Amino acid sequence: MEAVSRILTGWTLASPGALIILLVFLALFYLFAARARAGWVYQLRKIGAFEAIRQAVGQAAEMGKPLHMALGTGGIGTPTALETMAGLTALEYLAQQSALCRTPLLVNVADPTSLPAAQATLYHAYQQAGYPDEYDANQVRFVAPDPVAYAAGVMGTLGQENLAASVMVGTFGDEFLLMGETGNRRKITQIGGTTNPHTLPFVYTSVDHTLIGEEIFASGAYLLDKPNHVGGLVTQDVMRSAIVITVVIGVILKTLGIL
Amino acid sequence: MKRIVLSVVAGAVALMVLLDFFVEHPIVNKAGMILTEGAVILAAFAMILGLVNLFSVHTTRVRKREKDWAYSAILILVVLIMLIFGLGGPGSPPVAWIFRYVYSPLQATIFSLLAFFMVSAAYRAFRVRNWETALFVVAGIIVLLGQIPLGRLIWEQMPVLKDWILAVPATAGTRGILLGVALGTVIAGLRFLLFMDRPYL
Repeated sequence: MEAVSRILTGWTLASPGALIILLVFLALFYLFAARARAGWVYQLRKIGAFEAIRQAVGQAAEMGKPLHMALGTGGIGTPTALETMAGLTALEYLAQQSALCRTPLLVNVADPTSLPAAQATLYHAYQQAGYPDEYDANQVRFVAPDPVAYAAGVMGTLGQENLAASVMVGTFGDEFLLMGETGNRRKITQIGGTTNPHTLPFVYTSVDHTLIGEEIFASGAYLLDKPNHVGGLVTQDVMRSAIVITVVIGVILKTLGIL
Repeated sequence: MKRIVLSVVAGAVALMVLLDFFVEHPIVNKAGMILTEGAVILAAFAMILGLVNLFSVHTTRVRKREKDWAYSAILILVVLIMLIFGLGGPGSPPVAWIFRYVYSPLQATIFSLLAFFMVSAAYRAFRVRNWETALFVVAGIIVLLGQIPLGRLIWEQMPVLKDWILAVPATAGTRGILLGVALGTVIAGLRFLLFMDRPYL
């Protein structure tokens, strides 16, 4: 009885504002995801990098050359887990396509927690394609948790393997330039994306197609046509519009001296 | 069935950690702390998986005499040396010596390549192909000139213009990206929390 009362008493809400925002997000997300699942068609704006990923898979199959995917320095249990998950969603598409086209796919990870996740993604793709025996756990390579050592390892892969294309989506820092430039010199078609604004100039200047910031979270909607991901994008747009309107109203009120 | 069980466990853990963020309650906070510490311990164990993978990939390369297999052989040797010396602890003199006189210089050497790669990337980026790249080039040149004494010689207000570019358009762009990333992160988090997306399970 005493244990039950200990559980029931002493509850205090720590951040009510954040909770309200999250609940608004949740309600909108449920609504738009349900609509997308029900067959509502939402027009997505064209993002060149996703088109390039589709084309790269086709080119790799035609040329018989391997594809490369770098998941960055983030891991599953780190604060950058969602960026790694975004990379894993892009990997899901690449793995599905490479399993269907029998195109080799090499994956480089820096964090050991990303390793089993990437291997499981690849295994499921081969299983779904009907070729579970073709799956090789060594297609996913753990390089090193240190960003510079990771970059050196990826540079090795880009230099040694005769790759058709390289997709680098996840958490990256300044070391991205080392990998991007190596791929560029090898004339490999490259698609890169990260959320770090300080790394984005390096991505923009060194790869052929860039996924800027939040675009990396849109892989599921653009590449895999997942309704829940499309619903998520619509929710993002609605919330963004609400924030922009709030900012504009705030600026006007401040200018008029009301705030 | 296995997938459902794993999804439920992952969702329950995520929900508990989220509850820990929003609620002040001794039991919830304690559970959240235990789960967070558990994740750190699990991540440490994952390093063993990484090591096994590293050996598996590189011994296969050596066995099959693939291109540049000698590098793989050297890597296996170095890993074994570090493992043996590492048994004395991460702060033991041999490990500290290797880090100080081998690893750190190698790291600095690779990172120093960044300067040269930056020049070649800038050379490519500073070619005007469309109006976007034109803006990029103009902003880049102004910021570059604003950083050096020559810029002030050309036009006295150059450093002021550089500061304005960094403080207003660049900051506005960065904030726009960060806002979008925050929205994307919340939605991606909700997708995982609501069992709508678990590509790795």
